[in-house]
Amino acid sequence: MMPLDAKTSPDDDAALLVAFAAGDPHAAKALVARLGPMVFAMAHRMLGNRAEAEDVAQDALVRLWKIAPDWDPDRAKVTTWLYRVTSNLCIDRLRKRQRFSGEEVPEQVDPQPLPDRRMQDDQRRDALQTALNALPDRQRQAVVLRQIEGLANPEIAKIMDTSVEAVESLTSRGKRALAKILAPQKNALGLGDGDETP
Amino acid sequence: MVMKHPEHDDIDPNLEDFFQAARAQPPLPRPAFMDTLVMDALAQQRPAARPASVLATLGQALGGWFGGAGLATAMALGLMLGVNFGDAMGVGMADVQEAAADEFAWLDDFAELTWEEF
Repeated sequence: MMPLDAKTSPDDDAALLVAFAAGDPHAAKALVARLGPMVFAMAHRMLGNRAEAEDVAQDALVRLWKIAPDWDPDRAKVTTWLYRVTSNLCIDRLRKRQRFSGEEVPEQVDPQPLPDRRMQDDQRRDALQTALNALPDRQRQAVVLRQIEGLANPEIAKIMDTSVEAVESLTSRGKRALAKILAPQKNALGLGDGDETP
Repeated sequence: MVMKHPEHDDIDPNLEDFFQAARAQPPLPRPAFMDTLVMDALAQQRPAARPASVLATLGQALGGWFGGAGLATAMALGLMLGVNFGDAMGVGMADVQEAAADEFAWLDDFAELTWEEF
């Protein structure tokens, strides 16, 4: 019998979804364990806000549960479908934010002296999140999916409903913008010229 | 497909340090939120299929309650016709027998013929 935990391979998602649709409660729990953290992390990176990320993750997964009885594994991977739904929900929220509050102004990070590597990593992560928040929605989506979630460009193209070339362009422009935003903070974060971490 | 991350970025070699920090510590959902997700999933799920009882199997074979209702109606109608059709048939058969007797009376002329005469 297939183990129903969070360590099964991505190919098992479709099988778990079939078991879910058949009413297997273990499959429901296994799918939440596998996909919940992934969806939440993606939403958090896109939105930079925990409460909103929870709303989006919950919404995306409920949509998956509803479509489960009609799921066609030949049409898409479960994770691709879920990334796409999550991304679209995040972009809807980002656009609503911009309509109500005008252009977003990224928070400025003011790094403090770094007592250890862990804190340094925390601050780099936070600085990156702040910089990501300043990117246009599509660039942010492409950079998060490529550079942080580690997806291949063809899969990102499916998620974003665009071409591979467009994904490459969005990622490249996004990284250039990130480099520009993060440049003034590199020294403080232990990344200045000649001061790279091993 | 998950791709291998490049160690250095072509645009800014330090960008990868930022991405690495982000990958090393992904935002984690609260345990209470994970519990909410499980409850959502179970609430959306239809109950697991259980072995059907003999009665339920018979009901299904007859087409469920709708088919069963149709069958019961057909049976009641058949019984009603059966009860009433006997009287109707009695009168009808007598008429048919009388008409047939008149129609074939000429056959009586041959009744006394023997095989030899024929």
